[in-house]
Amino acid sequence: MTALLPTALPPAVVLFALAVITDRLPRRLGHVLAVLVSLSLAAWLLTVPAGLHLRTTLFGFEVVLFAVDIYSRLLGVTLAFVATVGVGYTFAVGDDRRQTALALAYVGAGLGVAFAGDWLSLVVFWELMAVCATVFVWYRTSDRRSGVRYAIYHELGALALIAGVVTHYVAVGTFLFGDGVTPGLPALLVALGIGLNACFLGLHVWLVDTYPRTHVATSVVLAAVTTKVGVYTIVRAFPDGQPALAYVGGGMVLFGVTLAVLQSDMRRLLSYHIVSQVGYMVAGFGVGGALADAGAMAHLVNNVLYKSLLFMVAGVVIVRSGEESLKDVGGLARTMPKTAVVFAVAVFSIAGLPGFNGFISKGMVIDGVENAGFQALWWMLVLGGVGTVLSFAKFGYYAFLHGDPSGDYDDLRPTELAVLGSVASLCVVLGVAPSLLFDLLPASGVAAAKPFSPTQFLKAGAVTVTGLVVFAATYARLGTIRPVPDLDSVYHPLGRRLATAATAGAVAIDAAIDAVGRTFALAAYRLLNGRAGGEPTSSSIGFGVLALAVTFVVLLALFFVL
Amino acid sequence: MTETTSVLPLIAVGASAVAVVPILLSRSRPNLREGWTFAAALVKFGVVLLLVSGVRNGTTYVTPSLQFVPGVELVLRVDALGALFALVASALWLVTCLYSVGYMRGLDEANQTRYFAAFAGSMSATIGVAFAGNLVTVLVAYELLTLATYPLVVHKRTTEARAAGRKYVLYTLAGGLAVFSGTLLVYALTGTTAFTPGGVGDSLSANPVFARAAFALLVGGFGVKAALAPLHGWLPDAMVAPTPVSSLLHAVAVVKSGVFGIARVVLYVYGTDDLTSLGVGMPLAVLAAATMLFAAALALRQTSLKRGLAYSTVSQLSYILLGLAVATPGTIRGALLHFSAHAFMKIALFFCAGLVYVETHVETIADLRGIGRRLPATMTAFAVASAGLVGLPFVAGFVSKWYLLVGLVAAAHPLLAGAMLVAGLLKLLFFWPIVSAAFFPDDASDGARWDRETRQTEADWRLLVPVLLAVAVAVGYGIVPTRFPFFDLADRIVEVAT
Repeated sequence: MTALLPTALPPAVVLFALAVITDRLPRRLGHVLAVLVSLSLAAWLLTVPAGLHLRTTLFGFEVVLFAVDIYSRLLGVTLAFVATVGVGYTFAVGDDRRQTALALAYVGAGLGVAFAGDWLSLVVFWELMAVCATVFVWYRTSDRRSGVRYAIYHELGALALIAGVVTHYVAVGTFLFGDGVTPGLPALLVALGIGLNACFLGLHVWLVDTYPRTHVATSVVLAAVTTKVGVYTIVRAFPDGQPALAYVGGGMVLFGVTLAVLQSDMRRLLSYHIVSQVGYMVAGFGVGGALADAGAMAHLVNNVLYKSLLFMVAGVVIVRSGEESLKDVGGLARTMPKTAVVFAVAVFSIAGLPGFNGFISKGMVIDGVENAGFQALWWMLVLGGVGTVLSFAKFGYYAFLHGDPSGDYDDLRPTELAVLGSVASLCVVLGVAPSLLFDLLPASGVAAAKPFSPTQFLKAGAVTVTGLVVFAATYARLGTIRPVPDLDSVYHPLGRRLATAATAGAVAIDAAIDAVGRTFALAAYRLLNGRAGGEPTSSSIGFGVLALAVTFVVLLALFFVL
Repeated sequence: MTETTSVLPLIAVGASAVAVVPILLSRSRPNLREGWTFAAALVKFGVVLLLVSGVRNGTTYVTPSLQFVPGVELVLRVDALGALFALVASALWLVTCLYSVGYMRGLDEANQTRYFAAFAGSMSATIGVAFAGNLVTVLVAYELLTLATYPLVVHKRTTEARAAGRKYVLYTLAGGLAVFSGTLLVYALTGTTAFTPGGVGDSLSANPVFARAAFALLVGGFGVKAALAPLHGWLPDAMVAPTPVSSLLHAVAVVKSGVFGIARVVLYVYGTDDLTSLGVGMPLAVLAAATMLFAAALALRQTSLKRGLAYSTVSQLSYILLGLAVATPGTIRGALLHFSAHAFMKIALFFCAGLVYVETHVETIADLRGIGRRLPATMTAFAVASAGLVGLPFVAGFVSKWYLLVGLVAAAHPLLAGAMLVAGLLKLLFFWPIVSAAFFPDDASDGARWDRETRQTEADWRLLVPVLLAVAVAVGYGIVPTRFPFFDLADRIVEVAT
């Protein structure tokens, strides 16, 4: 059954085609079809045989368009699921077909990166992903310029990636994935390119700049794709890990939660958490080794689930109340109990409480880091857990418990409940029966995992209690605290100044060249016209052209004769 | 590689020159006049196609020469490089014919007969440059090209147009003078001006001082039309011409003839070895890289769309010159691929600019806000073509830039590769705000105003079809470049000339 169709088509094409179709069909039909196709896509990707399919040439170079191994399969299934959830949520909040189509195209490009078997096709789909995301952001954003900045950041990242890939190619002679990127300059450039997408510390500003400003349905899908695809690429570039990246990951974890705690804008808080959570994955892949790699991959899947759930809940709150900030909402548990329950599931998952999926994968990453001997990093990751509990205690308290609701908002509608509920259930199912996920992870990593050992419970308990204690001590201050400026307050003025200086310099040089040219021109006129200078008249030039044309025709005629 | 004597090159060059007379005579019957233009374009394109298929099979076509003075002869020879240029130029002229009709009639322009006649003459000269077999012939055709395009630049007969025309003629005739001097030097040093694959041999490197001087003169002379800084000043001013002129001539034919001339000098007069031994390649490469960045930065300061596109052209042409100057097989291949890729993308962009002007009389970038509502297909084509110039995949620009990058890194020039990448960023900084403002204006009223001001959406088919055709080729070339003759011809040139 899995013989014919499955390997003949890159999965990306399925979603691109679906995007075009969904844009045209009537809304309900299109969305139902999109959900069904995305789910079938997930099922197909679960069963497609492993191996390098669709080996062909692209632009004259040897490429592999559909490479299936453990990592690409898992990412692919996850992305197909993201497409399903994205379509469902977009429909549920009442958005239009074009929004869904753009989301599908964006996820499709992500699938292209996931299944690329070589650096050239990876770069091609990477750039396509950036373009699709840019259009997706522009379609519904409160600030178009943040969309342009998004494009600029991603172009910078792509340029670094391209530079790294090309230097790697010149060193090894092929784009096909081998043992990772050539160490030295190629590896550094590729790491920078990956780092932009994966929000390495210092390269993360675009995410917190753009995501909170887009439409609620846009941020749900955005949060689940670009960063995860970026992190996955670390496995291709550094299959045996890279210690420097591990510490970058640790830094991301701490930085992300610290700034998250200071935010009042709900989606900005969640955006900083993306940085933090991706930090766990980067740390896992950076450390290397079977357990850490498996843990990082598991964390990627689980994170997609609970992070999209968090963005969806935030989206529902924003759509109902019209407010974006925690300072302007409150007491929502009273009018929106189902939303509160779903939110609780998501929070317990991200905090890593037993019974939820985050507990399993966080434990694996932290154990993997410990096994590899990175003690300082271990502390960074554990402390990050405390910060996570703290910031979500803040979110949960100020949104759902504290204060009175500013209006009698509707709770989740049936379609919304269906979408959010199914994702929440998955968070619980994968937390209680992790073997479902383990079957798809590398066996050696899974074998070393001890998901339900007593130490895991101890760690989770200690982290949670610490976080809650800190919250109890500081909650009043947290409600009024103002966020600190991020690196974009440095980058953006610097960028503007650079651009202005560069263009001003160019204009000055051009003016100087022009002045020189005019001097020569005046000299030439004086030469041609003898006395006072003056210009050749157009009629005399016109006559000259005619004369030359006639001469030319005569010459051609002579050719014939001779 | 066989060489045959054939009259086909002559027909290709002469078809439109011959058509000038009937065009002038059909002044009072516009449809007949346009018919002559189309007929000439079809004949030209058809003959060029025949020549291209022959060249791809290894044949070189020569038309018997006309000797003025012993040693100074006019020769038409069609090899891979000439076939490449002629193919691009003649294919795009066919498309531009349709566009010109839509543009001129849409604006009800005056002096259409003079326009079509001069256009036909210009195309003759262009193919003459392409098929020239030695420096003398190239020079003659190059100068004729200047003179034939002058009436087109001053078409509008405004003070601005005349000033632009004077600047144009002054720059390009001065360039021609430089080429003439360089040709004389080459003849004195080597006894021939004929184009030889791989260079004319040791006689040039035996006299390094004069050889370098000749190189500087030739490259400087051709560099005027190729808009190499600091000789680029005429191009932005020439944008005052009607847009079909700006698209075909000043984005494809005239500027590419300058680049073509430099390609001939680098590959067929000096050869890649001499370039390195004389040490003239790197200065040219650095100048090209500087032009790339300089022009891309200047584009950001432009308020007029066409001027912005003109500076973008200056920048893009230097990509080609950079590849030629570094002169390794990889960079030469990249440069030649960009030669054709850029032509299709840039002509699409200029066509869009002209279309916008005909339909809405908008010329400035700021006034393009929200215009995606009024001209959705046009602006989508604009977005795709500009994506290609930025270097995004699946449009032609990605492929050529990829090869250039690989070539530059392989030749151990990381700084030049870096300059290319930075220039790509500058392109994005220019185009993306235009595209986003067109489709997603800050103010919803910007889009609504187009609904109020004009009843229809989209444009005259005679203007839109050429845009879509050019973009379709650019996209096809970007997805499966190896299926296009440009790729094969580029391979041949690299094989033969290095």
